[in-house]
This record gives sequence, C-alpha cells and structure tokens, in this order.
Amino acid sequence: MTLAERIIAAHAGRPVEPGEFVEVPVDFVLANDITAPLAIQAFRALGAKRVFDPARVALVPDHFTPSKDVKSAEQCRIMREFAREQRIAGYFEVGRGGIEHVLLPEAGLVLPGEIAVGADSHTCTYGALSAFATGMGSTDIAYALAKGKTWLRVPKTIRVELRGEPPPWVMGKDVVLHLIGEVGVSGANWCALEFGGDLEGIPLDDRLAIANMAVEAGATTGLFPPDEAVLEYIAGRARRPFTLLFPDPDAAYYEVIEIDLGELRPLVAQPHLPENVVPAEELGEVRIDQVVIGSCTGGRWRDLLVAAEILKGRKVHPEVRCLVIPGTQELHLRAVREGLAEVFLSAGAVLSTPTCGPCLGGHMGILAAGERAVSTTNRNFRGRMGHPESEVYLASPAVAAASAVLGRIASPEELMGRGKG
Amino acid sequence: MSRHASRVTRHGSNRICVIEGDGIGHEVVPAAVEALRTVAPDLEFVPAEAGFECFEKRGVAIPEETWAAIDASDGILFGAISAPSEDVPGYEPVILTLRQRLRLYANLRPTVSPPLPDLRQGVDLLVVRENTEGLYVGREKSDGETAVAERVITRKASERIAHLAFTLARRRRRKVTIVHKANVLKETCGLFRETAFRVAEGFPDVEAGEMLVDAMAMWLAKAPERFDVVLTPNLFGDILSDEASVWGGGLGMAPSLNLGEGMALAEPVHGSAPDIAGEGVANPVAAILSGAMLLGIHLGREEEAKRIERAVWETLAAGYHTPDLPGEEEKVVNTERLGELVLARLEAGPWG
Repeated sequence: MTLAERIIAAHAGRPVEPGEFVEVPVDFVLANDITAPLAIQAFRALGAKRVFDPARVALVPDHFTPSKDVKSAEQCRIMREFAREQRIAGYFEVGRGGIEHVLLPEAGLVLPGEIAVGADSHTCTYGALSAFATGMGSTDIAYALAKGKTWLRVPKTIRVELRGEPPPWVMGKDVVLHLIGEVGVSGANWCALEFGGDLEGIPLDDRLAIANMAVEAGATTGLFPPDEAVLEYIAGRARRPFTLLFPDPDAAYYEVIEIDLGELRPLVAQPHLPENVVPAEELGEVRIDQVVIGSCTGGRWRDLLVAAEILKGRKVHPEVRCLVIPGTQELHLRAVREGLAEVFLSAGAVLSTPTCGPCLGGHMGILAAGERAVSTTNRNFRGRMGHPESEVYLASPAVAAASAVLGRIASPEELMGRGKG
Repeated sequence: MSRHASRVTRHGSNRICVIEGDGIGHEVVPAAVEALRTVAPDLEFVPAEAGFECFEKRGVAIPEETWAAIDASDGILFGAISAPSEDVPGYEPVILTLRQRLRLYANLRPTVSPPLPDLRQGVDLLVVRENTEGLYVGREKSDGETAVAERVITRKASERIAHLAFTLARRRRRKVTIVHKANVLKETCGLFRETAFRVAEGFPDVEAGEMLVDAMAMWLAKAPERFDVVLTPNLFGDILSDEASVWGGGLGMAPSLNLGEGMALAEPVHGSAPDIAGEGVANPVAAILSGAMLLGIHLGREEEAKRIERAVWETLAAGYHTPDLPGEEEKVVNTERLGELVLARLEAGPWG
C-alpha cells in the first residue's frame, strides 16, 4: 500500500484499494472564520449538540481578521461563541494565533499518521507531517464535527521521486511550482501525491509549502513519509501520541514522476493559473506594483529568513509596495526578537500581523485594475488578489524579495549570485 | 529470595516517588518522568523533597512526608544530591541513609556503548555490586598510628547478590564473571567466591567465570566486550563500575539502580553538578535510562523499558547531544530539547 492507503487503512481497520469508498474516524477537524459559520449552521441543522471531541477541533480566525468590516466581524463572532459553547481548546484568538495551516503544525495539533479534515482547500498542508489531510466543504465538516468521522474515496497515488539537492536559491515553492507546471492544475485530480527520494535537503518549512500546493495540481492531498526532520519538528509540540506509517516498498503507484532537484531554477507561475510556470530569469522586464511575502504557503520561518537575507541592507524599489506577513504570532514575535522585523521595516516593507488577507483578495493589500503582484501565496486565478484586471505571479519568498528590490520579476541569483552567502 | 527482580504492585498501578534532590536533579528528572509517563500512562508519580536544598530550607535532609511518600510507593526515581564541602551538623548523607533504611542491597550499573562518534562499540555489561557490607560497614578505628577497617562478608548477603546477578544474567547473555581477590583475602573474598559459585550451580544455563579484581581492572580497560554480568563485593564494584562507565560515554550517560526487597531507587550516577546547575545543559540521558531500569528491572515491565532505551539510542544516533558529549556542533541541544526529542520518538511508537 502507498502512504495514503496505509493511513486510510489504519483508520478503516482493513486494507483498502484506490477508488473504493470508506468511512474513517478523523483525528482532527478544522475550520476558519469564512467556513466555520456555515459549518456551524449545518451542525445545528443536523441536530448535533456537542462536537465529537473538543480537543480535536480547531477554529481559527485568520481569513478576514483582524475583522476588516462588520460582516467579517459577525462571522468571527459566530465562530467565537461556538468555540466557547463547545469548549474548543483549538480556538486561537487574534493576537494569539495566526494562519491556520502555519499555526496548527506549530501548535502540535496535527500529527503523523493522522487523518485531518478541514473546511479549507489548503488543509493538505499537513501532508508534510505525514498526515492524510484534505479540504472539504462546510457541510462535510459539520458532519465530521458532530460524528468524528467522514467518508473518503481512497485516492490513487502519484509518487513524486525527488532526486539530488536543490541549488541555493531554489526553495520548496519552486519544487511544487515545477511539479504543477509538469502535470497541470488538474493533472492530479482524485490522486494523492506522495513525495519521496532525497528529502534530506528539503527543510520542513519547504515541505509544508510543497504539500500546501498539492491541491493546486488537483490532488486530494500531498504526503511526505515521516523522517528525522518531521520528528524534530514535532518534538516538544505534539499534544498526543501518534503513529509513524510508511509506504510499502512494493506499493503500486498510478504514476511515478521524477524531479531532478539540482536542475531546478527559481520559478514563477504567470497569471492566471499556477501551472503557467517559467524560470524567473527568462521573463524579461515585467514591472510590478506589489510583493506579498506571507500566507499558508510562504509565511513560515524559513520564508521570512530567506526574504530577510535578500532584503537586508537593501531597499524595496520606489514603485513597489512590499508586504511581509508572518504566518503566526509566534513567528512575528520571533521576527522581532531575531532582528528580521528591523530588516523588513528598514527596507521599506510593511510588516503585518498574521492574516490570509491579500491572498484571497480579502484585505490588507488589494490590487487595483492593471496592477501586478509577485506573491508567495498559492493561487493566481483572475481577480484573486483584487481587481479582475490585476495580475498575480506566484513565486518563492526568494524570488518575491528580489523582485521587490528590483521593481520587476527577478531571480534572487541576480542579487545574490548562484552560491549561498 | 526470588522477590527481587520481579514485578511489585502494592496498588492497582505502580506508584513512583520522585525525588529531584539538588542542582541538575531538578533539570534531568523531569525528562525521565515524562519518558516513563509516555510509555506507562498508568504510573502514578508522587513528588517528594530530599537533599541539601531541603535541609537548608527545612532543617532536615529527608523530611517525614518523604518517608511517608516512599512507603506508599513501589520505587523511587532520584535525581542528585549536593554534598556540602564542610561538615554540616545535623545533615545526613541522603543516599546512604536511603540505601540503609530501605535495605537496598544491590547496586546495578550497566554500561552500553552508545551511538556516539569516536566511542568504542560493542560494550554491553552490567556491574552487580553488593551494597551493604564489605569495607563499607563503617567499622573503622585508629589509635593515631595504626588505622584499621573491618571488612565484613556474610554468606547471606553474598548469596542474595549472587542470586540477583545470575537471575539478571538470564535476561542477558547468560554469563557472570565473579570478581574477587580470594588469593589474598582468603576468608572474606573466599566466602564471597564460594557462595557465588554455589549459587551458580542453581543456574546451569548461565556460564559462571571468575576473575581477580586486579586482572578485571586490566581487562575492563582492554577488552570490555568480553563481559556480560560482573558480580562484585562492595568496594570492587564501586571502582570497577566507574571504570566501565568510560565506555558508556561518561557520567552524563551512566544510569544506576539500587535494588532491595520490593523497593528500588533509580539514580543517575552523576552528582548535582553545581557548576552547570540552572543552565539547562545537563545531560538527561543518565536520568532517563535510570527511570527505564526502575521500570524494566524492578517493576518487571521490560517492554516499556526497552522502548525508552531505544528512543534514547535513536535520538543519540540521529546526532542530537548535550554539550558534554562528542558530536556535530549544530546538533548540540539543551536538557529540555533532548528530552523532547526522546519523547517525540516515544510518542511516535516504533518506526515502520
């Protein structure tokens, strides 16, 4: 069995095969300020009184928070009141939380071998910690909240074999953009992506970015097998025991894709699909108005660190607005403590409290008609960050920071050279 | 006679009295408690005070509540005690008092080659030391010109420790080396040797050998892999177990178990280390492995104890280490972090 099949089988209590439907208990359920109110409504409509386990639920206000208007404030209120009523431990108030998919791994709430479902498409992020995690609609989540179980169609598994070591300025984001460029935005529909091979050279923060964007290839989830890096990350965070599961050596894969990491270049995905992938250096002169460094894809510690390394002692281009949004309060505080905040602010960037804000055109950096942004987020659909005639180029924090300095889309190698300083 | 090395339960579950003691005892013992709690969630932990800090605060090194807590427990997890450099009136040496009052007759000191760089591999031995008599009975006298210490060896105590050594050998590689100096100390060591070989007759499946203590000191330095269980009278064991600990990565890695009838005290070999106390860099491995000995040898829960040992070994094999151990600079971690890394492995269950 593949890793996805192993995890599902362990929950179903029997071996499983791709394509079959199974009912499984879930280990963790989450929703945010956009999706929770709908889920709560459906939860009530089911006649449910209590959530299945208040220790295994997270409700995270992160999308339109700190509330940007009355409507979003009302949404938050509904979720907050439900969290109090149900005594949900995983409710993270503004100022004590952050972006759900950065926050929950950091809080040790999603662990290897588990099944996590969330009313958010990027729930698949937890695959980096070897959890089978997938996004669902609010009504499905309402059922999971009430019953502690869900149904799944066992996905086929595409094995992504990573070989070699990425060059210095190539990050996890480039790995996943390359993959999406290869298979297309629907190339992995109804599939799980299973990453393997030479994982040692890929830091955990980068793996989280890779798993995060599995859904942008259409995949149900993107999974990494547990290893030393996963265990090191979880040490001191885990709130409950967990199980390490591995794919069988002779597991049957639907497809195998090999990626030579050493050949990768810093990439961008051009408007308006994540599959429109080209090396940043091949783009020519593409002027930009805004840079966003943040989100559940690109707002982790290593993302901030790499961005700061490039911005240190440099200035954001006069015609560019650069927004840096650490994924969680803890990361924001660390950025202050370790001097990154000063680097960003002296460079002329905005340093914001955690929010999903601009990624989905919510608030905190919306684009006007004709404006163009480079963003470390995960989607560049038409109008995603604002006006339907604005454009978003997806890239790594390294490309985003270099572009912020140069005022055009640029490879970090242009500023930093090919080696690592 | 056979009650030792078997499971003790006075209550529904096993209760462990936790005495952190002084100095780094406060830092390393919590890691051991967490490890035990993770593999054996049914264990109950009762914290109690003892030691020099306790003496300074309350005027007594082992308060009555501590004795009561011990009485209500199946075993003790002990940290370390500071010995005052000068004689302090009223201060009793805590560990000696506990050993005597609880009749902890055996001192068990294992040494296993850890997965650390530049350390000899293949050592896996256990020194089983008689802990109540020999030269340590406290019968010393002196007229100023001549000082005399009495060495007491009894058949009873020798039989008890030998029986334990052979019993433990059955769970290991079934080999016992009886250490003595009977060629010179014909009566005392003679009795120890003779008794040990008599006990050995009851264990035909265990290979019994003997070695003079001076030769033993040499072979322990030269070929420590040769030994499995090393059975010794009190003084020899004191010396040889320290010698053996070199192969285990030093004091920060050396666990011990003091065993009595129905009671045991697990204790890292290191002291309270006032020079690094409070810095959070002490090596918690000795304390964690001592906890595992309490669980495996005393409470008979070998499976759970093995899980702890394995987790510690895997963590070290992955390169993580406290500053007292050799290894890569970037994998140096503090006490708390090493504990967390071990715990993550325990929580993770077996790999694969």
